[in-house]
Amino acid sequence: MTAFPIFKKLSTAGYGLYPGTEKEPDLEVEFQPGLTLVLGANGLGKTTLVSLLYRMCTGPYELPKPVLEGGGELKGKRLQASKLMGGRRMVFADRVHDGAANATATLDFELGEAALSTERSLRNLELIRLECNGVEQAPREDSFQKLICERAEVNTFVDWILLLRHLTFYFEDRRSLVWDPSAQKQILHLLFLPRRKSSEVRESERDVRRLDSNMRNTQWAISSQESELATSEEAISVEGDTKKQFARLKREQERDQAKLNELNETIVEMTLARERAQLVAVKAAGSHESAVRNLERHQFTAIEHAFPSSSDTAKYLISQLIADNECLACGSRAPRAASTLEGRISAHRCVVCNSSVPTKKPKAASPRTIEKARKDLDKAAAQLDSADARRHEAEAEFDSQMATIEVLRSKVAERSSRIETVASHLPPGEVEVDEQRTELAAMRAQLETMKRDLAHRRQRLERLVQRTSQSIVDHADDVRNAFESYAQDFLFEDCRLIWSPRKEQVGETGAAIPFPAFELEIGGSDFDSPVRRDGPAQVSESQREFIDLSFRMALMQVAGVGSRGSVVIDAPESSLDAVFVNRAAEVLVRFASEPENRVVITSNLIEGNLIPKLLKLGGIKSESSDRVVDLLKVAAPTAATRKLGSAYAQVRKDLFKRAKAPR
Amino acid sequence: MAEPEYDAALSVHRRLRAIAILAAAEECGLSPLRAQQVHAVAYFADALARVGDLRILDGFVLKESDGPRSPALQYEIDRLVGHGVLVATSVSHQKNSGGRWLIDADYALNEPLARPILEAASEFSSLLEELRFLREVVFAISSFGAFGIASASASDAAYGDRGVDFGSLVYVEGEGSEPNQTSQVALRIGGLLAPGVRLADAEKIHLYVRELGRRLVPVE
Repeated sequence: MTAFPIFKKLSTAGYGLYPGTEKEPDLEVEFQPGLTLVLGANGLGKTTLVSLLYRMCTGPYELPKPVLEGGGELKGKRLQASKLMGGRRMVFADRVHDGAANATATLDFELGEAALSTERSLRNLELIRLECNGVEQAPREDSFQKLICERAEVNTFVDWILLLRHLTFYFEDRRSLVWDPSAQKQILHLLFLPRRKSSEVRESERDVRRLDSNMRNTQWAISSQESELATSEEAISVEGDTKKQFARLKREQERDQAKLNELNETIVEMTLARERAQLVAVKAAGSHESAVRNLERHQFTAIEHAFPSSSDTAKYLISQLIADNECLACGSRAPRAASTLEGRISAHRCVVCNSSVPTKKPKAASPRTIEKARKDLDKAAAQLDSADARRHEAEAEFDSQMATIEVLRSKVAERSSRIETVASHLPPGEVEVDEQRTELAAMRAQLETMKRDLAHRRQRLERLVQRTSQSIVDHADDVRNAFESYAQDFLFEDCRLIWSPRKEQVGETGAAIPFPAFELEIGGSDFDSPVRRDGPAQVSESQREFIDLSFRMALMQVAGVGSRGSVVIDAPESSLDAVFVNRAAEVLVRFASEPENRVVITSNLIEGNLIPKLLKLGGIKSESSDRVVDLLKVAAPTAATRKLGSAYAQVRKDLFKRAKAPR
Repeated sequence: MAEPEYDAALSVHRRLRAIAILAAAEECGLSPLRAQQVHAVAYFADALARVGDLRILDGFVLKESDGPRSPALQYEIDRLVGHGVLVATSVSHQKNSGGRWLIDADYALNEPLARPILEAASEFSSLLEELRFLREVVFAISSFGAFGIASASASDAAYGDRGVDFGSLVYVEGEGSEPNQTSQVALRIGGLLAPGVRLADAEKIHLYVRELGRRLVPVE
């Protein structure tokens, strides 16, 4: 289990951006269980308040830049939190004229059983005071980080920042966890494995990558050593056919080896593409069968009454003929016969001999229903054709790539032994060449040892991942159910998580290892059943937001100590249309109403339903409620709020009025 | 758009497998079989194929809570009904748990037309081996009784693998040169349960299915 922060109280002292009022100077927010709404206008410091909460949890540390900027995958690297330098530490100082020289901020929060309190300078984020369960601790960053790791039950401070960024704080530059396999792997390990195990997986993965890299370096060194040796050998002996042959073989070998490396790198991607195409095709085949059966069952009901006897087999044959124009007896396409038989049924005549059948009104479907079923079938058939074609294409591409690799591999292996044979026929060299040869032989032996070691460690990692994945699967149903309960309230489409371990190549050689991951299936306007969505671009912006939020809330609910957690969202209205606003408000308040959960939402004073709905559902009745942080009162006014203060006040009043109004 | 190639040999092979399954079901008193039972047995034949060195007819199958079902096999079953080789009774259309319409029926052999096909196949030693293998699979699985057959896949090493979620593909053909988990377990089980004894393929199948039976949740 992991402990997520439960925010209790945030306050500032002497910070010019939040001067407060004469009666209540500075900023002081008590986060009650449930919803806290931060209301403001542009420039009043909503986003700064969210950053402040975040920085009070991280101090002057952040994820390494490549990971933060989204370009760098985690790939089991030994990640160190990078210390913010220079201007990046002055984010709060830069917002005020005095450089926040004497300003401080204090955050009280809970992590599992521990009550923590930290005070930092807003000038440079330096730690001033640190308390755990009322006991003063040394105000040093290493003590703070150690305390956090122990209480949150994570291995490293980077893990803590990852959890904050991927689960607690909903920043604008976030990456959706569902579509970020690298971060998801890390987070699932963190949440569902004991600390020792998740660290073991990471170490083991790192080991394999390091060895893999060393092995490739050695391979490269051998290759250049071989070239040098060839040159030296050439220099000390007369030109001859053997020499020329040796040089030619070496050139060819280098070229093929490079090509082989290039092809190997594409295999994981191609395997994924092939598997995805196969899944789509199998599902399309299922949908097609369903469409055939649906049409068939309508026909079957009609036929049942038009039959003089009750031969199931005959009904089976004829309903299939009418539904799919195919004669099961001879395999021919027979649309004309199908139409004749259909005519007999509608005329209440025997489908076999065309005799008049005593009229017993069949409970047949209406022509409209049948027409719709037929159209569905045509659509399913087209989808199946297209999916089959894509699948065959992907399979052919994969097979051809594998065949090319196989051919190249055997060519390289065969040539390698030829090179050795030719080398052994080269004229004896000088001392230096002999030394080079000895060195080369030693390097080759070392390479073989490395290869064996790598294979062993890779196997160990694979077994470890397999075992740990089983432990994570134990929670998969809970995560899926929690996700569905949130997502269904958000979205109109069928949406579900699928446990779908994702293959990743560890290093640049060796077989890919399936690491734990969830993928997403969601229905769409042009699909009969939910389909896998590989990336955020395959869903709408609103869907993306809801999916991400549902996944976060589900993970916190399942993996959080006491199922507790906090969510901080900055300006959610920007990606919501008018209809989705109500649903979003309901789900956010539902998460907030779980005992001890905290949801902090910042918003501009805007028209629309979001704020009234949140106020109403969150049980916030008056403007003076301590669940509302009114930045128009607390923050230093901007030129706009100074000039238009009364207009803003009116909007705020109206919003509260609307929250009280009956539906 | 490229038309997928129609594999005539595969189509005949599927039909033969359906006939062989129903013939064996008749022998052990299980006939007729419901559609889902035929599909379940066909799945096990594929999943255990590496034990008997058989051809795998469906290399991958969609994992669904109702159990495995191959649209391609159902298509061939339909054709066999059309040819009069199989007799379908109690035909109905049902929606499965995924909301898809499926045909359901009791299938049995029409002896006069099916027997010559089985005899013709028995002329070829490899097919004869396959018929025997399928017979063993059906006999082993018949111990679950009519209700147990359709649900047996839930406990199978490959289909029941919790690491493969519903809605994903179960790779019956295994990965690379490795057989699937079902065949792997069946191949190893002999060594675990009877160390030092060399078991025949049929014995491996029976041992595997017996283990499967121990894991099955009894139907109330």
